[in-house]
Amino acid sequence: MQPATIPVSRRGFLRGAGVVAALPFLESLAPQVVQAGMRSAVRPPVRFGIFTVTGGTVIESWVPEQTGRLGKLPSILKPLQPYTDDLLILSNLSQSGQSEGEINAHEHCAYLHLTAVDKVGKINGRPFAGQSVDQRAAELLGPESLIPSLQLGYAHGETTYFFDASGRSLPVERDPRLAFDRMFQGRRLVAPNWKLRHQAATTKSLLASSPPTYDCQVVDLILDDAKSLQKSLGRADRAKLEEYLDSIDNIERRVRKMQARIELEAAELKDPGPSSPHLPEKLPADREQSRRLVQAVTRNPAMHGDYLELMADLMILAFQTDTTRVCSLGLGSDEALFPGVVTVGYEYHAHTLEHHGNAARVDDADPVAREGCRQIHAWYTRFFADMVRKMKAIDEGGSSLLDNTLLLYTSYMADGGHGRSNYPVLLAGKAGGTLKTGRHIAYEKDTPMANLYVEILERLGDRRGVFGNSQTSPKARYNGRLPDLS
Amino acid sequence: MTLNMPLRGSVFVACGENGLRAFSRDGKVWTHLQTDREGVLLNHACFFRGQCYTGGRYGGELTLFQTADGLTWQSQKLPSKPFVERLELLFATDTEVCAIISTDGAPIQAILSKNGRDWSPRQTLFDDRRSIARDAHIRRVARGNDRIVLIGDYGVRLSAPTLHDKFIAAAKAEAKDTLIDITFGNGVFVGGGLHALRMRSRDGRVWTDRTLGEEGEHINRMIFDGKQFLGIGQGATYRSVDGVEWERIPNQNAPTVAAYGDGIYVGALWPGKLLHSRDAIHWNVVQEFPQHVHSLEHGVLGIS
Repeated sequence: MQPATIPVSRRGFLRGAGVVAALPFLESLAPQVVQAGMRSAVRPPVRFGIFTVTGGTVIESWVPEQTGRLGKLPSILKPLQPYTDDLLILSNLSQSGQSEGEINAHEHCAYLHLTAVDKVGKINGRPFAGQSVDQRAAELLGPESLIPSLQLGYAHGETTYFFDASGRSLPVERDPRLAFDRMFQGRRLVAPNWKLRHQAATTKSLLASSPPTYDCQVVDLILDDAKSLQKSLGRADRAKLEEYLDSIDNIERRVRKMQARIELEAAELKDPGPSSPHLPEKLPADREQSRRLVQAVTRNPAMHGDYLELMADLMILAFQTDTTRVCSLGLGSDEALFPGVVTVGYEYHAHTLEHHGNAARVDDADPVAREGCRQIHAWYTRFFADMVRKMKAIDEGGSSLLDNTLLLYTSYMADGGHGRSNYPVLLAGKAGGTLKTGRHIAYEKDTPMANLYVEILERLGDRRGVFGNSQTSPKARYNGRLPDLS
Repeated sequence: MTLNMPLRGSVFVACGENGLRAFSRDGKVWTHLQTDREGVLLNHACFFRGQCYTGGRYGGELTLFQTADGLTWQSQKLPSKPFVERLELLFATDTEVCAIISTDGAPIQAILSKNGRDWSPRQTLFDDRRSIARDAHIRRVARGNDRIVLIGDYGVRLSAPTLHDKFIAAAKAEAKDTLIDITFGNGVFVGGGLHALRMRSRDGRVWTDRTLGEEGEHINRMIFDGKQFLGIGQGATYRSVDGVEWERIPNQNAPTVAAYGDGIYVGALWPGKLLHSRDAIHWNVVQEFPQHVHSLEHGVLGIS
């Protein structure tokens, strides 16, 4: 018989979590979920999502000819036509950052992509760049959620986009089953009841009332003992011990937060939010199935499509369940083959199409390859549009998940010829009412992408007013801002 | 027809992923299915003196399979620089099988064989590599009027009387006039391309009668059926006797790869669908393979 008791002991949780209870999993847990419950307003929180694809785009089939209110969308964006009221298309945003050391053109574009700094490169074979916009967002929103940020998808190697505050590149989870398990092992799938969370935060009853478990008390005793040992140690040993204590403390703190979240969600099961959790339809049953799917991505467009849908679904679920408020999908592959997606000519290899389909002058590019690139990007957009549709359908209690999200749809290159001028940039969602959507805004030529990131971060609570090279770019514009977004 | 019966006479061949090879006499029933290791990609096929040749790559090597009966295949590696060179075209003239091999920026070269086993030293097709874009691939070939015409990326159009002569690039060939396929019939070369682009030429050097069709109706295959040209696009088939006056007929389920023989049209659509048609307008799926079909050709097996 299933035990009816709600509290989950730390030891029980760790046991239930199995292998994911190892350090990497614990490190991924957000540190302050208790505060999240206390601080959350009755409005659902704003989330920030990135859906970035490889290969640049075919800009004449991406950017609307007219600025102002969105009408008929260009062919690549056609799948988004039903959602024009939720879109904001921004054109003429560019990167000006230089490269240093032995990095190729793809790496140059990739490292600049979300960092928008003045210089990127490699030192001793390791990439360096500034902090990426998702990671700054995670600093702002992470404390409020279970996992500060998620980086999912196929991005790796030459397409490394995500960098922490020290400029260190971050890994990306490619396996959908592992990503799902990482998020939900030991938890029950429930859509948050934001009203309930608000009440809980107000009364401080739900989370704060839980007494420390026996395990927590034991760990506290150990910590106390260790602290008393500190006094008798030399300076070097003391530093080592402090480092050790910090790590133990961190783990302990995270476990407490996870435990609190599990308790909160257990309570919400009785009174959940208005929409059911968006469980991915195509979630692989096991790791082996998941591994096979990942392996087929570059060879088989049908499975590639399944993969895109699945990763987008995971982002939706992560946002809906407030597992994280910052999620990035680095999708597509320059090495992928696209038979059936590309229905013109003989070439299906994305990288070859990108190179042949781009030239200094568009008229000099191979038009068949360019059409192939256009077809690939129209195909990518189908999956993004499907994600928008699903998020719009998720009611969070008077507003949709899309209303409460800021989604950035873009590519790590502006075009397949390693271009860095006039990136495809589309925002979807209303970011909690801070964006005036339904429009196309054309900025001055080569306005820094960094300006966009400043605007995004401000809407997530950043007060710095500067990001990347928004102030230092040789092409700095608009005092490092993007006017007219709201 | 069982697999253990040798094939002889007029047939279609299909080749593609994982070394896929299959034959059909009527375009409906495909037999003699063979596959190879995962990763063997066969994207060219031709017939020469009773033998069927299929070529492509495996890993970094260029690979060729040949058969005289559809049952027994001999395989070989073509002489090439591994991982650098690509097999751009495999076709036959009246006297030789020709493999065109190239890499970005290098001279485009051909190797020739009269038996599929012994290959000639490499010969460069034309002297000035700068006359075409450095990464242009040669994609298709047609023969007629005592000339061989090659087409490729960025509007490349080359012609020469024989493979032993130097090819000359068409004057003023612009990228916007890139042809996807080309054929010969009724005394002219006719090509098709993006948005139902069509052009014709008598010698492969001077191209005239440029016309465009509906947006998005890209002509992937231009076929001459003995009487007329048929440009098969996704959405419409364009018909013409002379390559000047055209008729547009909306089509259904059109393939991206097609071939003609014995009054039958066969086609392929991703993934692995084989189609049959009597008129190049109405297409029906007749078989599906797990592997995608990259090339379809018609020819004669077992009879030199």
